[in-house]
Amino acid sequence: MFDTKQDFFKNPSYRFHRAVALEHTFSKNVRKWVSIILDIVVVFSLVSLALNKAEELYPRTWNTIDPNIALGLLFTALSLWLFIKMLNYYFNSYYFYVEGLLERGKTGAQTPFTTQNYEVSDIYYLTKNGDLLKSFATSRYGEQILMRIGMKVEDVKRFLSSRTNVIRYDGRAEGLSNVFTLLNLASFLVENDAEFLQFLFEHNVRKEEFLGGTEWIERIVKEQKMKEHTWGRIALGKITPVGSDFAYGGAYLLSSYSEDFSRLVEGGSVNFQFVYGSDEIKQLQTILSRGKEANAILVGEEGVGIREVILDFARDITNDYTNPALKHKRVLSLNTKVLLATMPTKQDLEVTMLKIMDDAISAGNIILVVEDLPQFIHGCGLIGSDVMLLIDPYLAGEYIQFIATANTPEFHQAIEPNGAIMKRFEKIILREPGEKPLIRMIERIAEDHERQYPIFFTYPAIVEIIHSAQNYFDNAIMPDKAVDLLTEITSSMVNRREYVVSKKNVLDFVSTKTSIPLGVIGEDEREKLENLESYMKDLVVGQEEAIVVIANAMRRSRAGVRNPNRPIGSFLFLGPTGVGKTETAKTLAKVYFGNESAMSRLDMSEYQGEDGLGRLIGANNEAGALSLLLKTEPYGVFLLDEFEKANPKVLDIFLQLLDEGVVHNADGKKINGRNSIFIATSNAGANEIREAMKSGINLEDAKKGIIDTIIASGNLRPELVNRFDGIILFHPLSDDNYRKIAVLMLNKLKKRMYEKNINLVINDALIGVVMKHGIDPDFGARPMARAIQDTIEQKIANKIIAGNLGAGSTIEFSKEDFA
Amino acid sequence: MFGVLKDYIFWHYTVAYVDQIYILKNYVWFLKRFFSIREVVKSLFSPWKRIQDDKGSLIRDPGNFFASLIVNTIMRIVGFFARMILLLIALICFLFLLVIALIVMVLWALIPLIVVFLFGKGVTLLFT
Repeated sequence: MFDTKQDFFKNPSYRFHRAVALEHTFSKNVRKWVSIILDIVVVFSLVSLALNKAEELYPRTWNTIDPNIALGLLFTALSLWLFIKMLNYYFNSYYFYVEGLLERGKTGAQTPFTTQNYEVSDIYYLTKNGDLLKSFATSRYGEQILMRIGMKVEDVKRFLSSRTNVIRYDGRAEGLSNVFTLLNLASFLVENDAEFLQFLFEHNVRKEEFLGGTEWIERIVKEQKMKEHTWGRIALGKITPVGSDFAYGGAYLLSSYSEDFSRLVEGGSVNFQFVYGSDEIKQLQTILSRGKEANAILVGEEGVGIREVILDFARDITNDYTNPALKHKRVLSLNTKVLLATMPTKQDLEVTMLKIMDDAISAGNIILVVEDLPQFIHGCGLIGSDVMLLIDPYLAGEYIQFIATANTPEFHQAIEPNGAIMKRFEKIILREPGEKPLIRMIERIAEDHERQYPIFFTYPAIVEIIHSAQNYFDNAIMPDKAVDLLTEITSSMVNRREYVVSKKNVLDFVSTKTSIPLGVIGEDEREKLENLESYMKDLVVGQEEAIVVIANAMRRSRAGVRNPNRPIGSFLFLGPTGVGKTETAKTLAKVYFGNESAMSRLDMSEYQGEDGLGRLIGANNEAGALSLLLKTEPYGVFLLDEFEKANPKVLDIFLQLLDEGVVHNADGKKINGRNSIFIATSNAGANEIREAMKSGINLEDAKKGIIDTIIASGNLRPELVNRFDGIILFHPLSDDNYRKIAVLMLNKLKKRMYEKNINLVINDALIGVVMKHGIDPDFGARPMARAIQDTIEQKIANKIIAGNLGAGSTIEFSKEDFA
Repeated sequence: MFGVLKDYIFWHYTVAYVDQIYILKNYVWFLKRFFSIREVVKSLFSPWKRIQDDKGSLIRDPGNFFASLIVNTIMRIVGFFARMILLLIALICFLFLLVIALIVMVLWALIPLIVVFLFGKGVTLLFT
């Protein structure tokens, strides 16, 4: 009986069917070994025949085998050897079919993306009873994909055998008509099999991650095949030509002052499927192919990868993936530092420069790279030389092309305003690459690390490295910071003898580095988060409502519900002086970031004047206080004391900072506040709070009225007040509260004394004296620290100096001591 | 079995030849690129490594002028011969490639018969 369902996946009319069938019955590996054995048999038969011949000529006993048998062996082995070569050729013809199309740049009906790839056919061939998911997951490609997304083989096997609804695709083959690549197949499976999607979801793998992992493996497979395809143009193109050495000059003087980029990229992997910088490279090719004034200046932030773009450009020329005008060009980078260091005078420099230029022109195929052009111009200027004027005729000519580079601020400062330079150069701006090219780039670097170290990166880990670098590291730019993070994670993992990098490993690493709690909430942390209020209440006295509001906001943030494009949290603390506003901020730093010193503080009353804004965010090449603090302490609590006293222009900056988590300084550089908790404190409304408390009105009920009063008084603008995640009213403290604070502070003193082996007994007398001298109707508990210092600490110090207190002694004060 | 054999024979005498033409084209492309034929021909009479001495003025320093002229002429002659040798090697390589390609294409047509013949002959010799 003809089984039509079975037929779909093993349809002999498929282009690759027979090659796949051959591979599964007589694999490439087996063929290789059989071929080696046959080689040995051929050599053995030939030696036997030679010995027979020798015996005929010089008769003696050689113990040879019968010549007929030797000849028979030779013929049989040769025929089988040839047969295997034919099979190999037959197999390769299909196996590399799509790669051939790719190399020939085929478009139209038959492209690599509209022809079913060998890998997909291989999975089809394995399909039994239409269970395509099983054949996918158990195929060598599927296994690699599942490993890359961090799935364990046992989990996959368990899932495959315990599925409640096994989908048979042999009856739904029409859906597969648009499946050509592994990515198409993975996408088809995940869209059609809800149970599989759920399985991935339960293992913390999103659909995008599954497809991303598939794309990665497909790219690795294709690149490997390109390497094996030794008769293809890509592999042949890697061989460096010799002819151009005969046709062009050696540029000997230039060579001694430059780095040969073309040599650097020789034999390197082909940039055939490059993604990053492709636009920039295309622009560079177009500009440099022009008849004259073919010069480009690449502008970008430091770390954005300008050098890599030029190297990719040089690699494309070396591998012949460029337009005819740039064929056989040699890319040399002028070593400006060596040039400047070895030229003592203006005359030496200028003569050498001119010789170098003439040398480059006579060579006939030079593209000269001048890295960091503004610095070079500056360096030449220091010895009195106007280098741009000197090389201007060369820049304007047609015999040599220039690629200059400059970082963005220096470009705007030194190059852009100079019309003479800009006339000669076409500007190419390099921006931070988008997410997809970044993923490809980090994948490639991860592959390099995998070759060097015993380490394996999962796809979700790669994505997380990029996200973490973007969100938590603001001191560098992409892709540099992602590459740095990847390198640090590699060494950390290898040192710990852990070899599979998962998303959790990345989050743990970032969390350790930044002190920001990230990743899955552990048991200890869960307990801490659930009981955040009680932890904070132990340290902050009498402000229960405030603590509840803050704790809730922190839990939202940690649960991942918060908006990543805003600060972790922002609160406005309103209330009289000395009621615990600063203490609450410190406690939050300690509880959330694990350290009281994770709190930065700005006294906003210092920014009242017109120059406040400049001093805060920087001006005239001077860094501002906010920029500096956020740069040095990007993860922590940021306390803005006496917020309302700042200049209105300063306050306007916070509209954006609280809303988007970023502001731009005078140079246009981004200041990132997304990893901070902003706490603004203000005494505004203190009288209203006191009045409300005196009248016995609940603060929460009076809150709206108090805030309206503050806004009406013009202290804070309504749009700014509304930007805060929470406005928290701190009420004046009661005697009971003060007593608790006194005990807390005395306990700190007791701890300090204990470190000196002195036992301080805390009794009512001590508490009483602290309360007597440490409470002020206007300043709340603020004088308390002073009171402890002036009364108790002073008395202890006197006793120590008088020799009345030694190590191991106990000190207890009575009321009379303070009478 | 018969289907597989039929498919193979079809492939052997059609697709395989198309593949061989592609491979030949790849190698021709490679040789052209490897020897940079066009550039070498264009620069056939240029000085070797484009090294040239500055001739200066005939009137002011005729000695230097003629010395440089001789050096430059020698460099051109050296360049010409070096490039001619390279072109000759390239030509040999092209011819070698074409001859190999022709042999392979002819042999390819006969290979199935050769395999059958060798196998039959071998088995006969082994078992008689």
